[in-house]
Amino acid sequence: MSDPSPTTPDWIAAWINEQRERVEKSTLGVDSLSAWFQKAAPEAAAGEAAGGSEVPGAFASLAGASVPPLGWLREHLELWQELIKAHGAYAEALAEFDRVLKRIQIDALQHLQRQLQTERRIDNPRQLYDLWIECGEEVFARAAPNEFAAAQARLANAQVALRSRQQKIVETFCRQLDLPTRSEVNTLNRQIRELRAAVEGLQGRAPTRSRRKSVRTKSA
Amino acid sequence: MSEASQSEQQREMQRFWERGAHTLQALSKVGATAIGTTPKEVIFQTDKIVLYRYFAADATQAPRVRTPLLICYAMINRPYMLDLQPDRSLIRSLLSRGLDVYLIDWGYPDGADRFLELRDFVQRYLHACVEQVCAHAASDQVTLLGVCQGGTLSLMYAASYPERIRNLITMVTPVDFRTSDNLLTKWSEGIDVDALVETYGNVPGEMLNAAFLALMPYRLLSQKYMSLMDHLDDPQALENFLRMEKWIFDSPDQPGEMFRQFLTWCVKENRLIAGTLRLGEAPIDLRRITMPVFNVYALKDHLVPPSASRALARYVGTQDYSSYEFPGGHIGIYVSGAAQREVPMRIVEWLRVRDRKATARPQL
Repeated sequence: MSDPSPTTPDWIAAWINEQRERVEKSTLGVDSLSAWFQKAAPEAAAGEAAGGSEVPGAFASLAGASVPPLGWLREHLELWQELIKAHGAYAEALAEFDRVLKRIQIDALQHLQRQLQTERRIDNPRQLYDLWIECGEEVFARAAPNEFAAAQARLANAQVALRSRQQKIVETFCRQLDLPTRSEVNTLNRQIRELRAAVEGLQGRAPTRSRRKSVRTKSA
Repeated sequence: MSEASQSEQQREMQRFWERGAHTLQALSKVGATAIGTTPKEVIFQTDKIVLYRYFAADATQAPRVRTPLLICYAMINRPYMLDLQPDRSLIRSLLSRGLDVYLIDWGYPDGADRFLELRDFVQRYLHACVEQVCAHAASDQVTLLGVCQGGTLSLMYAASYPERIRNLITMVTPVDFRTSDNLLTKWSEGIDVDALVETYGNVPGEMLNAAFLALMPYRLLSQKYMSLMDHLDDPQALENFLRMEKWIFDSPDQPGEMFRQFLTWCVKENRLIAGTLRLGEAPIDLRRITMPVFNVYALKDHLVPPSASRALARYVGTQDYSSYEFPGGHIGIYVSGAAQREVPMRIVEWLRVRDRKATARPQL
């Protein structure tokens, strides 16, 4: 990004440079999150599989490795390997999303600089701010249907995949402790729907209707 | 730049931040804000759905419109947008012009609702509410007014049960989801909605809010709040802002299976206008909509582009199609000053021309 034009008032140039530095330094927290997870996940996997005792070394290595899961702990290993892979994909998608956002913000500042070189007069910070908003929305509108859409979808899908793997791990823990799981509740839910439909069919009507005594309220 | 000029700019910046701090203080003094104060009563409930009938706060002198009006709001936000405050209430305006107004409140879906399908909402709940309004109002038909996604559901209903609908009004309703300027459709193309629903169950309201905010991120995440400084000394304006803020973020979760079907069948596959939509065994054919149709949409709508709504004219079977293009946005059509003057007046004028004596039915 080029420096503000020499004709740009100093206070505006200072503000633009400050915004540019802020954007360039900002991060969506990918690196630190990644580093923590790569260290913590295999250890957690080892703890879970071994019921808290000290198996860990070999299991932790296998959980983080790309070898096919084998042996008595095969099912657990596979869950953790999938979780780690999903986290990697999520970190990549987050990094790409971060790059796209930064590009948009830098482009918006450049667009702002170009606007300042026109006849447009800026007399106070509020006018500068409103012009920056206008420039930001124009730049974003160009990126929104394509570049931003692709990065956003990739991030959303990666986040869903990661959460799905997390849920599987949590359900494993719950089953070990004989706690109800979402999968079990879903099964019950489906069974209730089928029963309800069967009952309504037997009663010869489609919608379930219940009439309650009317209750008048004066306000929400 | 001279030192004096630099000092002046620094003072200007300082005043800017001080004004921001004062705005926050002013907001904290606003207190509780009442929303949706038009009197109403519950006339029917089933599962999470509540059917309300509204009453005019003051006795109206306007001649009564015989056919009762049932409002089918979207599930994505809460329906009290239509009754936000006394001077910003489509419902009050319709009541004062002689309409008998009912409204479906879809409630707040939870995990027990995740397997509800699109057909549950149209053939079960909406149908039950229409039947209840007919019984309650001793009318064999209703005027159905659908808002946004609620309008899409209303179209499905009107095509399924045309005999129950005297008039159909759609407001900011997406019909053709694949017009070139539909950004939300574009964004949905890459989303694996099956995995999303499988993983989340119900789709969180916060997730949809994030998408809506992202449509205009600079304005909606920043400028909207900065603009509050312009109303620092206007407690009423601050109160109105807080009311809107409440509505914007009060977003129910979407029942998972319903959302999956809506996004896949309507948005991605555009089945409604392709003529391939089926709810259960029932085909949805928009040509069966032969009752009068009034299509109201907003020219500056960034959520439902006018092109998505205008398309309705090409697909319905009615010979009595009218439209009104409101010169505002998706939300302004309900809460702006211009909307209060124009929208209810046009709706009621259109209805009066088509009003006829409702066939009396014995009360159930």
